[in-house]
Order: sequence, then C-alpha cells, then structure tokens
Amino acid sequence: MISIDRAKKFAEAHFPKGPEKLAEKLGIKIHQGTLTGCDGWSLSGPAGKLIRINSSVSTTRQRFTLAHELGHLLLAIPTVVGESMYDSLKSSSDEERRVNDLASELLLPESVVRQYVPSVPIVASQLKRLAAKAKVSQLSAAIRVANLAEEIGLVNASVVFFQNGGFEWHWSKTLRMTPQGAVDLFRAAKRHHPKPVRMPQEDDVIVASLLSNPGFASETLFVQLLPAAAGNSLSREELKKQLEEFLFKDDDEFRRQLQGVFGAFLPKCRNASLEVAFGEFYSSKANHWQGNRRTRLDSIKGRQYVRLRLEEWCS
Amino acid sequence: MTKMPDFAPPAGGMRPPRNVRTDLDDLSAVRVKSELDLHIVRVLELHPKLKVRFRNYDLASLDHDTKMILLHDINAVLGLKTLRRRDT
Repeated sequence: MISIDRAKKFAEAHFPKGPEKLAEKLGIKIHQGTLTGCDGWSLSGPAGKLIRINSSVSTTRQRFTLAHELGHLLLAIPTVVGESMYDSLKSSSDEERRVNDLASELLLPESVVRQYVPSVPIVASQLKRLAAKAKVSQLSAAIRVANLAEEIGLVNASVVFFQNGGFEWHWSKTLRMTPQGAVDLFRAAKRHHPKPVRMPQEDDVIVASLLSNPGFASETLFVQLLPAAAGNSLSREELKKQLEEFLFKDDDEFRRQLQGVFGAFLPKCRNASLEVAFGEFYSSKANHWQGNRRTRLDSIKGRQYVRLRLEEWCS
Repeated sequence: MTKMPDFAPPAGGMRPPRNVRTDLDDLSAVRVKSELDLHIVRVLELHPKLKVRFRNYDLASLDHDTKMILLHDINAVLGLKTLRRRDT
C-alpha cells in the first residue's frame, strides 16, 4: 500500500486536500450515499478498495470520515460498520484511537498546526481559524492540537465534549479529568466566554477556552495545562484584542481603513523579514493617517499591534 | 486404561487478561434479524480476508437501504457480479 510516514508526508504536501488526494493516489474509490446509523465504512478485497461516506452529514464530518476510513485501510485495522464520528471519538478501543490519530494527522499536518498555533496559551479563535483553513470541524482541530500538546509547549491538553449542556466524553492522551471536574471548568468557561478562563493548579495554570456549536446544541471545551508563567500571559489573540480596543475603541472607521491597508500590504511582505516589513509599513503606509489616528499608530501599543499583524505573514 | 489428567485445565469463568483482545471479528456473534442480515454475514464468512466488524455485533442501527448499499459495496470489492434477468 504505502508506509504511514509517506502517507503523512503526501497529505502534508497536498494540504488541505491531503486525504482526498491520498485516496486518489492509492486508487481507492470513494462513494457517497445516504446512510442511516453510520457515517461510513471502508472495504478492501481482491477487486479493489472502497470507502463509502454518508452524504447526509456536514461536509467537515464527511472529510473526517474519509480520513478515518483511510486510517483503517492504511493501518490494516478492520472498519467498524454502524459507527458514527462521535462513536469513534468516544470509543475506548486502542485501535480506534490509532485510526483517529492518523486521521487527524492526515487532515491537519503538524506544520500547519504550528503555523496557526505559534504560541501558547491557545484560545478558541485560533482553533476556529485553524479549522476553517483545514476545512475540518472545530472539534477535529481541537483534538489535533491536544494531541500535539507537548510539541507546541503545553504540559498537556484535553478536549471535552458537551451535548445540551451535559458532559459527554473527553479526549486526551495525557490529562486525566473527572466528569465533575470537567463540568466545573465548563461552567467557569461559560461565565468568561468569549475570553478563556484561568485556574491555578499548583505550579501550573489551567486555561480553558470554549467553542460553541449552537446549531448542534453542543460545546467543546479546550483545556490546557501550562507552566504558570506561560499560562498567565496573554495569548496572541487576547493581546491583539486588547490592542485593538486601544486603537479602535471609538473609531470604527479607522479599524476598517487599517484592515484595508493590511489586506493590500500583507501579501507583499510574505517573503520579507519582519524588520523590513515593519519599516516599510511605517515609511509608506502609516502616512495615510494624521492627527489622533497617527498618534495612536505611532504609540508603543500601536507599534506592538502592527508588529503582531506582520508576524502572521513575514518570514 | 487410566484416564489421563488434564494437561491444561480449562480456565472457565475467568475474564481474559486486559492485554488479550476479544475477538471482534467473530461473525458468529453478530445478531441477525432478517434474511438480508444473514446474507451479509454469510458473504463475509465465505470471504474471511474481507474484514468487517459491526458495532455492538449488531446490524440493527442500519436501515434496509443502508444494508443494501453495504452489500453492494462488499460485492464490488470481492468482484462478485449479481445475477441479472436476461430479456427475452
């Protein structure tokens, strides 16, 4: 077939269509159909390999099923007919966990996660952007980031899933949590939403951020354990919001103008160093504004904001 | 003739150790409630290389149409052609 390492590299090279392109390369036929009581299956026989996907569920869920069934075929672990995505995620079977780990690596290569989650603590808005970029559900993005906890600087992390406000299951390779502990954290996170909640834990800090999915009456809690110094510092997203409040608190037009200038300027500095782009911005673009707006842009906080935005693009 | 003592007495009534996996591929444990269920299980039993498991050893969560699609897919990967009525 293909080695697991090669499959991962192939999916990374073809991101965000890794699973689709990999199936095509391996000659696996993908069929869609309306299924009841099942998200899909994969079969391998003398006449070929086939993956069936339930077309009546969301596109992101169909993509997860495709990657999951590819995982079954690549790892030579038999498919489980009658299983939904949620069944497989809450399964305690080691084999299902291995399949899901591989599926999330095919959908979200580590290099992409590092690009979208460059620093800790991680907040919900970063996970949302990562999910949108990879065309996966926010739940899948949260699970992938939790699996990479150590690699991206977290002590450990967990994803907790709630349906209609009730605890359903939690996913973590390292962090153990009681259902009651998860519910307490969930309530605290709801009170702070959209900001993350922080709770001291001996020498570390728990930071929990909530992803809401009102269409399905479900919520996902991303829980991370960090050393106190990192956990108590503001995440990039939080810092960005704080600086935006300073820059645009009473001037929405300035916000729109600056977004427009960034929109045109950022792609041009993709290959430039941060310092070069920063200098270029202030010598050619900042002159667009005068008076109070220019004063804010030239202030320490204004410069910090411009630097933060340029960091997303510069090499 | 004296009866040989059991060399390895059966370990009945004991749970298997945690590192021993239950045989999830055991098709005889799958509950069948219709002719179609039985047909799917028989095809799989005839082709043991085609590994398929059923959640909770049951096809009950699947409706008739889904089972028909499953059977169609099983036939496709096995290269089995269904009989067609010849037009006269």
